[in-house]
Amino acid sequence: MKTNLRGDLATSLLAPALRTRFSELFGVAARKSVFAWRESPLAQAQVAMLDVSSNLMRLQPMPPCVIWVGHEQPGARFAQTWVGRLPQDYTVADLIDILDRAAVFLLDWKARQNAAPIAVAVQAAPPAPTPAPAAQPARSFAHSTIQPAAPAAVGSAAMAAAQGSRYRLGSWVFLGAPFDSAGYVSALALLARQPVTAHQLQAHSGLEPAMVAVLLRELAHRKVLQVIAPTQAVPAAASPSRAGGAVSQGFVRRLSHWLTGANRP
Amino acid sequence: MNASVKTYSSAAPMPRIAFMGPMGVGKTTAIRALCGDDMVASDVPNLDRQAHAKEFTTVGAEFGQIDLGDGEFVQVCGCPGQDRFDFLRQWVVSASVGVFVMVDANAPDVLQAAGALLAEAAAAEHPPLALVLSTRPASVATMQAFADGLQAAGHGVVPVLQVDVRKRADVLQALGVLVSMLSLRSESP
Repeated sequence: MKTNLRGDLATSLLAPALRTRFSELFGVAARKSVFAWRESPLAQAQVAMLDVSSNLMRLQPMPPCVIWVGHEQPGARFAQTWVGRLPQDYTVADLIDILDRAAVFLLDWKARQNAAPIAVAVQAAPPAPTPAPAAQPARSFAHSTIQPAAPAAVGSAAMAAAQGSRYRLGSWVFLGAPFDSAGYVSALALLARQPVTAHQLQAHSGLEPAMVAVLLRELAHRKVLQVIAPTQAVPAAASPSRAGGAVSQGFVRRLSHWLTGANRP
Repeated sequence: MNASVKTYSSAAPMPRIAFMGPMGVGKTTAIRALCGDDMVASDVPNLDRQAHAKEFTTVGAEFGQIDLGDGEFVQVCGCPGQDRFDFLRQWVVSASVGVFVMVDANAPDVLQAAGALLAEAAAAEHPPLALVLSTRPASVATMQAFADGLQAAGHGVVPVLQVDVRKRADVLQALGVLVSMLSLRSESP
C-alpha cells in the first residue's frame, strides 16, 4: 500500500497579504506535491515561509527548511538550513516546484533522523531540536558524489547526497522518455531488487551522478521511492531474496564487455 | 536449423540464462537475437493449434550460447511453458543465474502464467534473478496493472520490460538490465 509522505509547513511569519495569497495557491499545490503538506504551528513545522517582514527571532527551534517569498532580509543567514526562494508574484507551478524541492530535501533529512524507519511510512515527525550538521545542504553537496547538473536538480541532489542512505522502489513503474533508456531501466531494476545507495546505482547502471539524482527525484515525485537511513537496518521485507547461484565479478565484467560489443552497429 | 554447439570443457558448470514462457511468446526469436545461429532447437509440427496457431513448436528445451572469449561461454536456454515440461524448466532454472519470464501482458491469464513461472524460479535451490518481458504491444495502463498484480500476488517488485524480440537491440537491452542486476549481486557477500 502506498502511504503518502507528509510534511508540516508554517506560514505564521508571513505578512497577512502574502499569507492570504499563499493559502489560496497552497490549496492546489498541496495536492500536487510529493508530500501531503499541511499547515502547522511554527514549532512543529519542517518548513517555515518567510518574507522581509518576518520576525526571525521566533524561528526557534530552527526548522530544517525555510522558503523566502520575495526579497530576503538583509543579513539573514541560515547556516544549517535548506533555503528556497519564491518570487513575490509566484504561481501555483512555482509553489509546487519549491515544495517538491523542500520535500526531496526532507526525504533525506528525515532519513538521517533515526526517528523515521522508512520515509514513505513516516507520519508527521516531531520537530528536531537542531538539525544535524550533516543536513546542511552546501556541505551535503560538497561531500557527495552527486553534484547537481543544473539548478533544477538541486532538490534531487539534496536527496541523493545522503551518502549511505539506501533507496528502494515501492512498486514497479513505467516511465516515459528520458527514463526509458537502458541505463535508467537498469537503475529501476536495481531499485526493485534491493535497497541500494546512489553510488551503487551509478556503479551498476552506468548512469551519471546527475542522472541518478534526476531519477530519484522523479520516483519521489511519483511516490514510489522508499528511503532507508544509513543507520537503519534493512527491513526483512526489503532485503534481497536469498542469494542465488554464485556470480563472479569477472564473469559479469566479461558478459558486460560482450554486451558492449554486441550493441555496436 | 540445428547448428552445432561448441563443447564446454571447464569443470565448472556453464553459466546459464533462461527464457521461459508459453508457446509462441518469442523464446526462440529472443535466443536467436542473442546467439545468432549458434543454437540448437527441436522444432516439430505444432499439434496444439487451439493453444497457438503457429505451424511449428519447440519440443523440450532449446539451447544457444554466447562466446565470451577465452573458452568461456554463457548458455542461453529456452524453456517450454507447457505444464508437462515443468521438470525440464526446473532443471534449466536450477543452474541459471537469470531468467526472463516472457508474457503477453494482454492475455487474460497473464498474471497466473507469469506468477507460476516466477514462483518456480523462486523455489529453486539457488533462485536466479528474474525479469519479466512483455513481448506484445500493450498500453502503459495494461502493463502497470500487470506489474501491480504481480506485486499484489506476493512476487515483490518485479522488473517488467516491454520488448520486441524481433529487434535485437531490445533483447540486448533486456540482457543489459539483467547484467546490471548480476553486477549488483556480484558485489554482495
